[in-house]
Amino acid sequence: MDNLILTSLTVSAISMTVIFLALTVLIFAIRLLVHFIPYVEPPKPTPRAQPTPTSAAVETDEDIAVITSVMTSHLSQLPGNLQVINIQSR
Amino acid sequence: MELTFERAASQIINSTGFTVIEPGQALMLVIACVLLYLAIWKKFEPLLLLPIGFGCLMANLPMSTMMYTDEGGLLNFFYQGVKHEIIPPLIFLGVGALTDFGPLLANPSTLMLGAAAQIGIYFTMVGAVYLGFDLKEASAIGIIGGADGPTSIFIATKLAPHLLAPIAVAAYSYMSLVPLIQPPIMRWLTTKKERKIKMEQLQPISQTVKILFPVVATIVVCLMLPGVTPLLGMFMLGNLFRESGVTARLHETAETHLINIVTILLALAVGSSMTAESFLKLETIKIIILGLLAFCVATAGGVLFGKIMCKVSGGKINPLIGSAGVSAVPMAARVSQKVGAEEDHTNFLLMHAMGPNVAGVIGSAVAAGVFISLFGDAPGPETHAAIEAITQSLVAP
Repeated sequence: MDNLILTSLTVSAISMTVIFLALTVLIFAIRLLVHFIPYVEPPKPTPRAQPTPTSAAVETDEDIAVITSVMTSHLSQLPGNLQVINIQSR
Repeated sequence: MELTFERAASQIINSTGFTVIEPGQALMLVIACVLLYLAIWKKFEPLLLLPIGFGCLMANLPMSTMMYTDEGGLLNFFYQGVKHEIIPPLIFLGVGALTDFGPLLANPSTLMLGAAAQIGIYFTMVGAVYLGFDLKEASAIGIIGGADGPTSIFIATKLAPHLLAPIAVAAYSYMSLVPLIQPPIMRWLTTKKERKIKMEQLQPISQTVKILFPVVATIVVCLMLPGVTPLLGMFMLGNLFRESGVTARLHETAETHLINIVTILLALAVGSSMTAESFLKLETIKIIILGLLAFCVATAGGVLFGKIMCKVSGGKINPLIGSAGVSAVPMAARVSQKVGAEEDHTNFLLMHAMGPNVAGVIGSAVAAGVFISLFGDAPGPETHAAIEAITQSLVAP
């Protein structure tokens, strides 16, 4: 039994040494990789102008809807027969 | 043959399991129900304990042919995947696909914490020898301290298949208890000041390094310890699926469906090995006690090495991340975060603890490789030539 315990202690010491050795080699491998291939920040994407709906545009849409409705009713047309595309202020 | 009512009734009654159930099987059914209770209501590692518990339940139903030894039985087929070392490496493939090596690559010295926490394996191995197990059995029991289920099963199947069931149950039970086992040890071994240490933000790592690391690690470690190639190779392959960016479908499959399917097969196979003959022994109680010891010593080893690294680095490393060196991913890292946040809620250790945590997976796989190198290829109870050489060198004057 004592001999077996002594053997297990020896196996433990050898095994821990191998583990530390293997992981130390990995540490050096990682350091080499990081040294030779450093992190390069990716180029920032250029901001693109996004068309945002303005309150004026919303108002224009509402105006078009109202004018279309009134004109359709005034001319006794069916909805869809008349289409107001654009309005311009003078 | 004339089939009278009495005869038919008697035949049906005699064909039920109730007539042949043995006390050991009944006790195992109770144990299976306890496992199911722990999984469902106590949420102890439910993804594993639930199928293990149900596999145990089915295996101990008399005449069910669901024991791992029942040739032609369903669970016997599943067990072949464990016996022939197919399933644990597939689990590692999935784990690799889920693992981000970024924190480890940003702070590679944390690999040392993953190595230090393996002390639990060897402490337990010596304890197991003291309690009367032979070296192969002691190695299989000791690997519980690696806190890595698939590795424990892999080594138990190779070195002590008759102890597979108690080893697997102890490993997974204690893994689920990591949030209860580790904090008292961490608090006991560290000072308030140490627990409050804030670590520097991790440096970003090039994607090319992340791609190269699994390849380099496989070559380096598997050349040193060829026995570990099935585990470590599959682990790194899974990670390469993730980092390469060209195998999105394989990565997705490995980290979701594959690992889920293989987990079901593995857990049912382990459950089927929990028969009364293999489980209801004094050895099981010894293994359960040794398993707890393994987890405690592994945690202490990691924290103490963390304290050494803290001193060497001039107080830049919080020793609490050392406990994450046991490889229960990511639970051990979460425990480091939780205990650190108890002292200072603005201290975020999680990402720092993930480094030693994945290092622990590599460390326990390396420890398994050492055991395979020492004991692996000797069939039967004979000790390997390497061990004979060690023994002879100790005996010789």
